Amino acid sequence: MSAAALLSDDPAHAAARALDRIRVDGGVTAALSLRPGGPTGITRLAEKGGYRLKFPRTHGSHAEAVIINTGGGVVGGDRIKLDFSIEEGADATVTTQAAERIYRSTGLDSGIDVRLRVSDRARLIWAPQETILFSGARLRRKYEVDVSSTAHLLFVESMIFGRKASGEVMERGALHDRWHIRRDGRLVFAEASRLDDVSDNALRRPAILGASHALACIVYVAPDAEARLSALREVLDDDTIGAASAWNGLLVVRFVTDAAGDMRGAMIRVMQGLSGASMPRVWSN
Amino acid sequence: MPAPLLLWLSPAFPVGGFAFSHGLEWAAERGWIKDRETLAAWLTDLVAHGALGNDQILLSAAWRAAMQRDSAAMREAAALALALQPSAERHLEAVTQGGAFLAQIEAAWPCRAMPWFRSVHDGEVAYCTAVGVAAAGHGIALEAVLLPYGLAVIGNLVSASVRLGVVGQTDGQRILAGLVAEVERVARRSLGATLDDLGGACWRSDLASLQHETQYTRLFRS
Repeated sequence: MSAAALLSDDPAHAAARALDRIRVDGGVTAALSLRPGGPTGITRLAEKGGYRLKFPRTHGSHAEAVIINTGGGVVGGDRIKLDFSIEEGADATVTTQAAERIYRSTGLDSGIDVRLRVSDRARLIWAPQETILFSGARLRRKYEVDVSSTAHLLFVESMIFGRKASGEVMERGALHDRWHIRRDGRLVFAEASRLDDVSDNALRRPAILGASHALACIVYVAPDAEARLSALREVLDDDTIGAASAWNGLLVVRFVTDAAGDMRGAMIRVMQGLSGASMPRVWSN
Repeated sequence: MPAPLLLWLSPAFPVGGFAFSHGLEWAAERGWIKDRETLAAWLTDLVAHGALGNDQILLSAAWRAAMQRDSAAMREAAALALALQPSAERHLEAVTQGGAFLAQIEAAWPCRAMPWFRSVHDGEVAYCTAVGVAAAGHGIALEAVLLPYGLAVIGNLVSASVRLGVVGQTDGQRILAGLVAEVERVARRSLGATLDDLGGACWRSDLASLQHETQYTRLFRS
């Protein structure tokens, strides 16, 4: 028997080769610009590795773009790059067709790199649906965001640990998530989440998640950010699952809860309250 | 411990640490911390996975930048220490103590690192950054700073918890004695760490600091 035959008979090698084939190098690069006298439209678009961008509707100058991952999730070893430029005066919401599932990894990290630029007097509502970490997921994500001081950024991120409905136990996993938001080039907000052992034992620690399994963070960077705080607190209503704070030109809302559905509802109220824009249809499903 | 550190990190050094609870006041209000066991677990998380561990990495980065007079590294470390604050009150906690600490160092413990620092970084300064720069300015080894700094911060939080009635004085000391090894472990880890190693997961503690802003009865500013 030849060495090659030996290798192909080994189920571990066969599985590793299968994974190599499906490993994805994908993403979307797009620029959205204000057309003269018209609505915001796409002026540059590159789609790769099963990722697509769809434009379901436009309201006045406001455009909506939906990222679709036709692969249906992210596995260990995938490298996803999302790059959006909202050009001067343009106005766009970018969301995702579905919650992004990060599957159990056999060892490699799932890498997601996101680059966002919001130019002068432009607005970006960055509102992807939840990221769901499956047991064994290894997510390494990075956000690099640049906002003009005359622009509006409404940045929304939410994460769910485990498929609670199916009673999944988080046995292991890893999370490394860094966000940098700069305003006119100056770092104004950073988030550094890191847990090298994403197991239920670690997540249930009292200052980590306690009995919760969902979290979200909304960051609003805009000239009127701090002035919106008191009205936003009215909208939030129930401060046991989430709360708001404002300082240095930022407004931040955080959620930690075991009621992901309630959190989604509160997030929608916050997003509508802050943007005045109607929510993308995918959010009401 | 080098003599200046004994004074700088003493609760008598006028940085106003007694006014801040790092969100503990809300956690106590909700009953998340209510006795020796629950408080010790919460504080252990803050050291292993929270701001207390991150601050040691940021302090180390500030110390190294000041030692080498590396302006770019200094600006990056100082800006990151501010930007990582999760709420208005945690931001206040960091910059009130940082500003007061630097003012005392400049007035009573001048060193050449201080005017250099002011020339490369403008505006608010986080407490961990301020301690790192002052220690470098006085030639104090980083190894000598990290553990005392961590213990001073955690000691301040235990003192806040005693005033909140979560534990008595003696249980407070028992908690501190039990945390020394963990603070030491994180301090050792921070020695070789870079800004890429930053990160934590104390999401419930972070949220508590936002919830505290609208808490009805408050003793603390954070």
